[in-house]
Amino acid sequence: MLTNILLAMVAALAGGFLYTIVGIIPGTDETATMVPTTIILVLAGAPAGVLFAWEVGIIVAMQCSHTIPTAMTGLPGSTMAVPLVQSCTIAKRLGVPHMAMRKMAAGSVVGTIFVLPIAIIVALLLSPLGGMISAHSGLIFTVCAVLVAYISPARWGAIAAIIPFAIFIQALQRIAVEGHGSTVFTSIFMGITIGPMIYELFGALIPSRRKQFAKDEPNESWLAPDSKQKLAFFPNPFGQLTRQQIAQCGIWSAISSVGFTMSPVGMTVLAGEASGGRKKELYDRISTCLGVQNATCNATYIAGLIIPLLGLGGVAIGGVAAGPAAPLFACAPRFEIGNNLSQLLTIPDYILFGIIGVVGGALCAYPIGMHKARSWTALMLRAVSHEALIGAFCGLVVMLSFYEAGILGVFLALTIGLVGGFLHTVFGVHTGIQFMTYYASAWLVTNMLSLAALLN
Amino acid sequence: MAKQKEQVGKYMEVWGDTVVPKELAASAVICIISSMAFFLAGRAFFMSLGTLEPELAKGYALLVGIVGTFAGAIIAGIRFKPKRRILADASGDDIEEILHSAGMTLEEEIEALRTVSPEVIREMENFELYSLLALIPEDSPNYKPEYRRRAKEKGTGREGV
Repeated sequence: MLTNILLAMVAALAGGFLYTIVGIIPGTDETATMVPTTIILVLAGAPAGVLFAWEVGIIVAMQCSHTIPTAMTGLPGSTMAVPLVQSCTIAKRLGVPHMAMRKMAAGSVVGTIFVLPIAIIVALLLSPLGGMISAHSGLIFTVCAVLVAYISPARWGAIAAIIPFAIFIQALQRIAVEGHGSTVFTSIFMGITIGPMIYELFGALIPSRRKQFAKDEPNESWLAPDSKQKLAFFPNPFGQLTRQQIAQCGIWSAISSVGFTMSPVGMTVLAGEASGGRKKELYDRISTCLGVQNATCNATYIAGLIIPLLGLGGVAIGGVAAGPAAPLFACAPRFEIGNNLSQLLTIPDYILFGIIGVVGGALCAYPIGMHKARSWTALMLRAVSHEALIGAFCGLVVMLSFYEAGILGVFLALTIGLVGGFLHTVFGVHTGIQFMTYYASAWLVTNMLSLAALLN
Repeated sequence: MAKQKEQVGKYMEVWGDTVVPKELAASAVICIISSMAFFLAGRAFFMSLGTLEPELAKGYALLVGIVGTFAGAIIAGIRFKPKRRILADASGDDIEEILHSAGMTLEEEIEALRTVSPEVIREMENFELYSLLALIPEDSPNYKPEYRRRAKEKGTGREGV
């Protein structure tokens, strides 16, 4: 047990540091960056508590540090930071990007502190349903896929895409059984994750398209000036927010726990509109909006991780469980639905390793956000080339798919990446719908086959 | 930076930022080779130990592989520099324009400032937001004459970084 706690601390700190940096690099997607490293830890046999602390740590670190480039340059630090851009741009134009920075960093820590107990309570309230949910997980995943599709921008198109995409996935699984002897998970999951990137890279191979998207000039980024105020090393996050803002953070942490199945980005937008929208004064509006939004960012992620694990018997329902945290739910050969972290952790484990994760994640990201926002943003923009970043992803994807099913795995990942990326980029059938469809596909196709046999 | 301008249409936008396609291809190849080399070497090593279960040996090999990925990314990062232009922001925007972009008018803001809570006013003082504080009307409890004086001082003393 003691070794587990020590390992969890190391994992949370190391993950916290690594994902602080990932968060500062603009535009890095949570799912794409969190899934590969988590898969590696799962497959390397890390104990359950360590994995949980790692996941909480990287979530907290990234949700805190993704605010750094958002406040300093107006470029979103991750997908979840997109809703923050507008208020950040206004704060920057007012000459107070450091205010935006502090509100968001404090909001993220406050949101996490609130959501940890709330999510555990909500999970315990839901847990009587857990057994029923795991027994009917195929049907539930299908319903979730339809719901997620319906609230997506592609609406009916996304719903119509579910069945063909499910057939496509099962067809690839059949090929995997032929060539590899069993179905695959990592290759398909990684393929969906990096689909949008594969699609753009594929487009670069087509001469006409390449001309169309060619640019003469590199991107320009505007970097805001630093603040001159002095702060303690780890300023009290509650002191950075007004009492009203703290209360709003608490309310939205609770709402995101209850609505953990909703899209985290959607929840964040909603929180901003509901909390800041009613404020009439500009400074009050943007500061409340930013603090509460980033608290919600964190809360939806932590709730989306804890509730399906603790409350729903480890069925990967919701955007977090089917996205960034997916390897903790299913990661062949070690984990599958019905045999994953949910069965390995007890309630005290969630509290203990959850706290280790929060502290490990915040210890690095929060002080950097408070003190070094400008210099670290400048460093990342100057030192980390986008080529190296994408290259590293390609390396990870190839290695992980090869690990699972050899060269065949690599081909499968590329195939699903191209098709999924096309659906995502061109039609707005986003990767969240595709993940849900992946989980639903076995049930859907089995039932379609029996229906076809009946009607034949 | 200046020498990169010679070619027209040299850059491409991939995944939210500009890259040079050739360099992107090269760094993908570098990273794939380094990851796979480390992974395969790690797998051979852990398998040859004979004391680990094959599944676990392959899992550990992934950890070696990720070191290879980082090594590849560092090599690619050193060879290919970022294609971003970073400019310091002077932020000398007109307050009316900022309000407009936020979907508000100057009158609405003045009216809102009249009744906003003292806690918010204190925060604005801490962040030296005199451009907004100077708008507080004189008949409001939040009004202080120093705001307008300070706003003027700040307005003339403002400089780029």
